[in-house]
Amino acid sequence: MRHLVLVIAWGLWASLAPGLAFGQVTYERILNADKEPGNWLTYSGNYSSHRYSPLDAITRDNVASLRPVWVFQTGGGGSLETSPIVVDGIMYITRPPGTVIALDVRTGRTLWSWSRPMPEKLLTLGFPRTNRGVAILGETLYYGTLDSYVVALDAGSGAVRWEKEIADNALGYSITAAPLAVKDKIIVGISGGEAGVRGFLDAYDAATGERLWRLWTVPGEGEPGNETWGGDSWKTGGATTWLTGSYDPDTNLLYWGTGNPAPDWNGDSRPGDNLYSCSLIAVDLDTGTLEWYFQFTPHDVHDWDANQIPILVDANLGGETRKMVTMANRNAFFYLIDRTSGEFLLANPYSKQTWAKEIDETGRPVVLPDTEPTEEGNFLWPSLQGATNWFSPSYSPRTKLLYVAVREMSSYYFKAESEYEPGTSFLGGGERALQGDDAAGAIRALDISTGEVKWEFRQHSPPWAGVLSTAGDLVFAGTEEGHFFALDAESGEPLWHFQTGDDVRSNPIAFEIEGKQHIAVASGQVLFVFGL
Amino acid sequence: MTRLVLQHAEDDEALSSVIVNGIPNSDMPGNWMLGTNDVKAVAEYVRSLGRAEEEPLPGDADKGRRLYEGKGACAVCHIVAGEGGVIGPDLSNIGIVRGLAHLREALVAPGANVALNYVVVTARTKNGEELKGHRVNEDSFTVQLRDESGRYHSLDKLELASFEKKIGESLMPSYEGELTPEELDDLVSYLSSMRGEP
Repeated sequence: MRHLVLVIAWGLWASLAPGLAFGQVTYERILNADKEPGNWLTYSGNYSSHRYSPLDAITRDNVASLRPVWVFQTGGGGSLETSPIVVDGIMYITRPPGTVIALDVRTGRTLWSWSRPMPEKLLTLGFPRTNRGVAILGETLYYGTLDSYVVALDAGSGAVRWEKEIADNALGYSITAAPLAVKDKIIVGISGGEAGVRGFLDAYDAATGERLWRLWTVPGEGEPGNETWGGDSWKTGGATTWLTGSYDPDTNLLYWGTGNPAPDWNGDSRPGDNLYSCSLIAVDLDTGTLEWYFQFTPHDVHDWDANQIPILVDANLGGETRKMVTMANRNAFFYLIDRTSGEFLLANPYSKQTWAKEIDETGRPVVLPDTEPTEEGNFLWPSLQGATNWFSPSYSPRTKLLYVAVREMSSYYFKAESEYEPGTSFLGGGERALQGDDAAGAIRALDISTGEVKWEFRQHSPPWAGVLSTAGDLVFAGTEEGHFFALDAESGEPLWHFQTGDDVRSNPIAFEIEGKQHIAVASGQVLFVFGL
Repeated sequence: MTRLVLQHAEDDEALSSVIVNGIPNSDMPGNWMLGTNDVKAVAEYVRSLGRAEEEPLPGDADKGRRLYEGKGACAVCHIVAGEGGVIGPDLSNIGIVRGLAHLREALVAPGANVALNYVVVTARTKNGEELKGHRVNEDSFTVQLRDESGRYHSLDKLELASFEKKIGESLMPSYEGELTPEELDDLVSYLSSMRGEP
């Protein structure tokens, strides 16, 4: 029966798209992902990274009846941060440390599973052994591994088509992000900022695995921006690209966030702005050329990576429709930037912060005195993990609101000596965050043109789960205490919640099973699928 | 921490692992931010605690036991070796996990340092029912409260007229002024002697 259903699904697609092989996910399909909302074809739902579903069957009026229709126990390996991909009746998820699983979306039963054994001396310095998902293009899945390989798997069987080592894990390089498939290229970001690696963004030929270009996110000697690093500090500068970015076909630019400069909390050895750390970079898809950059936190000493999701919107600003890229940044400010030129347009705080007086007219923060880490510890908002982090925000074109999962948490920041040793932590300090009742969380709805908070739903503790909005005018999100819940997208009123039994640390998606809307989210080591 | 042998860290390697990775399925978190030299320094400090001489008891532990069972009425709320009430924390091993200063503070200012699952909360339902007790657990949507009679209440926050955390308060009364300084010394000494031994 399972086989029959999948054959029927593929048959339907083939009849709608003559000339294409069964189940082929072309670039055009991903480009027009909003037109087939029954699938979820790329990490953030579309290239603009809206994590918004046009499905509208689940509404304010019926969401109270939402219930689990199946759960999938991954059976160990650690907490799931995977964002599923759904294509024509099959869901693809990842389980740490190195497994890709294909599931029948109707039943939750496994179709195939592929695992890559991890080396005994695997290095994951400064982050958990996790993975956030796969990309799909054609009939192939693309997966980045913790030991820094990109692997191409046949989507129908899990067989390896090619694999390629892209960096040396012995130096701390690692991959946790889902790749981004655009045209004939697979774009891959890298982790390892806490090991003092030199960050980069890569493009690979989807068919062969050949590397097409590499953009170093810390400029080398003689390149513009290298002068923003002292001495040889650029060689161990970090600025990693550890979260999936966005793409605009009109500008042909990739928009990608970069991480902290290394060492994290002691900036003495790297005087200057440390380009292009803590920045948004706009990169030509065809050539890998850096077209423009915007640095949110120059010379960061608090580990406030800009590895958040850049959301592309065309919205009204001062009576004019502008092509913009927005980011609710880890440093607690919401930014609007012209995505054609990189021009700074606006910034406003969306969460408590005590480190900057304001963002000036050029987009540069006016940093308050005595906010650097000290040996004794310096108290500041937000915490090291920031006002938000890797988990996705969501933009609803219906409400024109950006929904952000916010962490209201403070820390004492410490500074220490740090000497670079290859393959070890390169940190220069640390933090002690205030936990328990001194911390909290929220889902905040921000006006996309101003960043003004329109409503908030308070959470008991700072969240690690992303947000999904839908055409049913609902917002789905999760809590550290195990709840997966739905809010009214216009008012923030809570309408439904379900206790999953473990921390929700993943991004929800929406898709269809046999023509009916469903919602999926991972919690702990379990994937839940909900339906009416 | 004043023991020579640590339950989860028999040797230096195990101790370093506990410092970096924490203890699975416990409240002990790891700290990935410490460098190799920092971990060594913390481990050395932890080991030094085990070599420190025990603080001399300030009073008479035997007199303290009589106060515990009598004038102090501590056993009404606390259990020791299977005997006593259960509204407050089990004190059978309190001498292992708390030093003298902390024990004294708990007696004279019990609200100063309250564990997360003993935070005092008040709730008023939409029916007008007033509840007060320990917050046993809480999340974004619900709270589990245990009142002074030991009864559990499972509450939906969205259904409450009000809900308030009384940070800095405790259901335990202060013994400052209730016991003489000598009696406090005796009671602290008795509590410090509670090390899970029969």
